[in-house]
Amino acid sequence: MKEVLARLKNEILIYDGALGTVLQETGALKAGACPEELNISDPGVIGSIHRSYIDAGADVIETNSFGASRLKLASYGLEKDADRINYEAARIAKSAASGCRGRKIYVAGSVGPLDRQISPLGDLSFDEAVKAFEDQIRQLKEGGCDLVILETFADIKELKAAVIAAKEIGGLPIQAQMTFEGGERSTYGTTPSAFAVLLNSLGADIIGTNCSTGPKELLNVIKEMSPLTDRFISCQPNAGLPELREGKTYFPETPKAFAGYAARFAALGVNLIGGCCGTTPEHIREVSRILRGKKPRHRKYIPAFRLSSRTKTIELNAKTRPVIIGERINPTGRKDLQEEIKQGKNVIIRREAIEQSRKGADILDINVGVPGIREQDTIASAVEAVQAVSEAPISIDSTSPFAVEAALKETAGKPLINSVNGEKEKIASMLPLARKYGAAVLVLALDKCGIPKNAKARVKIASTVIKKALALGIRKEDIIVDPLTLAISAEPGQAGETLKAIRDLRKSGFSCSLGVSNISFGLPNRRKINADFFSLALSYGLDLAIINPSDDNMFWVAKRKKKRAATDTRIKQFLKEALNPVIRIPASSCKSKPGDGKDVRTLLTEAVIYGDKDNIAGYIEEALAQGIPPLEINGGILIPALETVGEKFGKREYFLPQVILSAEAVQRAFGRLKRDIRPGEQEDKGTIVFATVEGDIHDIGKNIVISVLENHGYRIFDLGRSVSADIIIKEAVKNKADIIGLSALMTTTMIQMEHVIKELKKRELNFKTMVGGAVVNEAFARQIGASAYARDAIEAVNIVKSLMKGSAQ
Amino acid sequence: MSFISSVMEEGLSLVESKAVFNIYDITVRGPKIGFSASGLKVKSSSLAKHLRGSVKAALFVCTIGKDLPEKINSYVSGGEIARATVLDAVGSEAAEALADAIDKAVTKNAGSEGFSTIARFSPGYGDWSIFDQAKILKVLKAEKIGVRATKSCIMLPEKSVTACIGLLKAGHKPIRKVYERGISKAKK
Repeated sequence: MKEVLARLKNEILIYDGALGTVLQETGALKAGACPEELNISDPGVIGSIHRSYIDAGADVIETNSFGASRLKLASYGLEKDADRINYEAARIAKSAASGCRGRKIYVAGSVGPLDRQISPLGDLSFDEAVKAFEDQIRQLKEGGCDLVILETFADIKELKAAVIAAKEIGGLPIQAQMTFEGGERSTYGTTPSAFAVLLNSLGADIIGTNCSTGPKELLNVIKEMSPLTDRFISCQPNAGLPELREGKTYFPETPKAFAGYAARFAALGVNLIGGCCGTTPEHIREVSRILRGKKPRHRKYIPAFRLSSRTKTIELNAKTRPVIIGERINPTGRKDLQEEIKQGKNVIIRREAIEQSRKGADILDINVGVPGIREQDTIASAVEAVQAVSEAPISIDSTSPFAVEAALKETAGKPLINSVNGEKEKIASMLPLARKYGAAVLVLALDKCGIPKNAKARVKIASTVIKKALALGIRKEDIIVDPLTLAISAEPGQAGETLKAIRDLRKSGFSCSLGVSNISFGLPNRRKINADFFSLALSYGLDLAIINPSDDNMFWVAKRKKKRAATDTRIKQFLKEALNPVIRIPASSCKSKPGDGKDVRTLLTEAVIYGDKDNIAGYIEEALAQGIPPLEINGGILIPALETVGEKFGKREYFLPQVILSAEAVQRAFGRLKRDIRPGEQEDKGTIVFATVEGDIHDIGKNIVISVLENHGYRIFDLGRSVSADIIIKEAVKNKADIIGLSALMTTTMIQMEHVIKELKKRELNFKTMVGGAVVNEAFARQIGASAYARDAIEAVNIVKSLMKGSAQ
Repeated sequence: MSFISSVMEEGLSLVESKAVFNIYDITVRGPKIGFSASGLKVKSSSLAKHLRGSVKAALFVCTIGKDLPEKINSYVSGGEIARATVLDAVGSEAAEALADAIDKAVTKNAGSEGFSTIARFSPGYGDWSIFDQAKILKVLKAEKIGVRATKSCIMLPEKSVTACIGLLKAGHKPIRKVYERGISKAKK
């Protein structure tokens, strides 16, 4: 069965060309009919296409089963025939292949996308997708295929499901291909490198690309993939981008020109070359003429620790060392995150993902270990949330193999499993998962007996795990070792052992990682100790560090070009400084106060105009201390400043957020002033009752109006949202309101305003009414008999002023 | 302004996008549009006019989830109106961007079947009643993604969008028309 792989070592093999577009030419396929159904109703025509490709020189022919997954056949009502259609597809191709004398022809079972999207893009689960692919591949194998080709995939997660299905069925070499638009990215954003990084470790034997816009664009795809994989590479371009000429689809690349590109692919080290849409037996004949019997060009695979997300890859090399793993998505010692995880929410997780990526984390660690939850569900939803907001590859941090597997299914790329250790059960459960899903692994140098006290014993445990991993087929470059950081407050001598373990592991060619901040546990001045130890670990050869990316000190250490010496003297010096810190006066206590030298009136005015909520209360204290009367502060400083803000808004220098920030600043100021104003001293400017009308739940606009009006000294009663006419009127009467303010956002709810006004008339109550809200306008206000319409909060201030004057008369 | 960018960042972390769409064969008679298989029938001459030439149409509902609207409410009750207002705007933009993305997905899906699409049209545009939103939610089984409508046809969570996109046979010339007037804010 693996014969085809053995041959690929020494020669380039030629694939066939298009089936679908050739089939359309024959006229056997009726418009709108299912092409794969012909395997049953017209096997002759399919066989003849296979034979024409074999005659043209193809070494590998593809079965007519690209769209024959049960899910896709369902759209033709053919799901019941799925098994037969696939089995026959293989049989037809096999019989064409065995009819060829003198040459061995291989049959590749063609499997295309399901046309149903996997979550979160769609509603198909990962397991359902794997099952659908398994059903199809099983039949193709039974029918006699020599290998399986997964082609034209755009969603990397769906391709991952297909490769896993092919591995589960087993026994057939796996060829996996994606389509990159314009040679740059797949429809869902996957780059050729992100694809190559995952597929290289996922267990495909041949990886490549097909379809797309034409052969020229695929040259770049191959160049980008090439150094990232030691698998065979395949390439099946279109005959250019189809054009419509005189009502017929026409592919521009001629057989000669196409074969010219095939030679260029061979020069890049491609092992299998064929054609996709628009190519014909003539194209393949030309390719065969040029490449038949040629030896494949040697490619250079550069092994390195690499991870990928759907859209991005990260590689450990001299330039990127140390790679930073963000540690913040971890509920240990964080009440807010624990609470959120228990509630099944991902808000903090998403925020931490965004922030850590922005700060420069290369990889995001995800740990949701909280007692009393189903960790496999929680971690899968956390992985989904992180992938939605960040491009960074993921480190799956859990001790439960169930949770790790759930997260692996959700990950759209190649993640790191954090972690496996020397315990037998851990080795037996975690390593096969890494192999199955193509993940890298982090090996912790501890076992059942705990953390060994010296470097040698730690390296020994790591070696045991590594041996098992390599035996399973996990690549050496995909293994990272963590020789463990212990708190120096408990065992100062351990720091040296950890550092020596790093040096020894690096010598044997393994990459090392540390959770750096454990070092300072239980000590004062943790940030400095962390940074110093980090610097020390880097000089001993640390490759990856699990840290808090918001700690700028750590980044400064990480990005510093010059490495310091790795000596015992430095370790001693580090321990001395960390355990006997010199107490320094914090710089912040010497800082001068802001705004020094300015008059307090100016400061207050500026605080209102710039919406400086944080400092305004302090300025009020100062103004009061200087003996300015509270009412003077309010009427003589704050209100004029607010009016300036209103003017700026009118001139479109200011927008809504600035107005509200100013209002909030004044509110804070006023909150302080109130304590110093004697009752009765403040003049009564009037009372307003506000509500969002019944059926409507929008109240931002109403709240903005309220916050601005409050500062102008009115008494406000806010009744909230969706308030019935009856309650609005009762509250207005009870509080002796001068004005009723009504808000509505929707055309369906603004009619409630009319209802309130009618009720007022019916009860012969003379309240003034002011209406507003997105869909409300002047004409509507007049029509329903409201006293006034206010377009925005600033206008509302003037309207309330004039309505009050009216009521005073 | 760092205040606004900090709220934008916060908003992004609160967004949990979900969407459902489906494509139906349609029949248009006068102002009445029937969406086959779903049993949905709506009456709107603006929509009927907009869909002229379409043989199929997609219906979709999308939402940015309830976390963001809940956060707005908690800011409002804490008196942080400025933050609430900006977050509200971020939410509206996010919902609109999501609707654009779904629009693109529908267009791509239609393209693979040999159809092109026209501009999307939502209840509340022209004379299409926003009360039809509830019917759309029902045929799309929007409860699966947690979207429902109140009696006054406000969608919950807020920041959800429903729309209809006409599909034309490839080669058919789309009718381009801008319905600027009469577009209400009701779709939010």
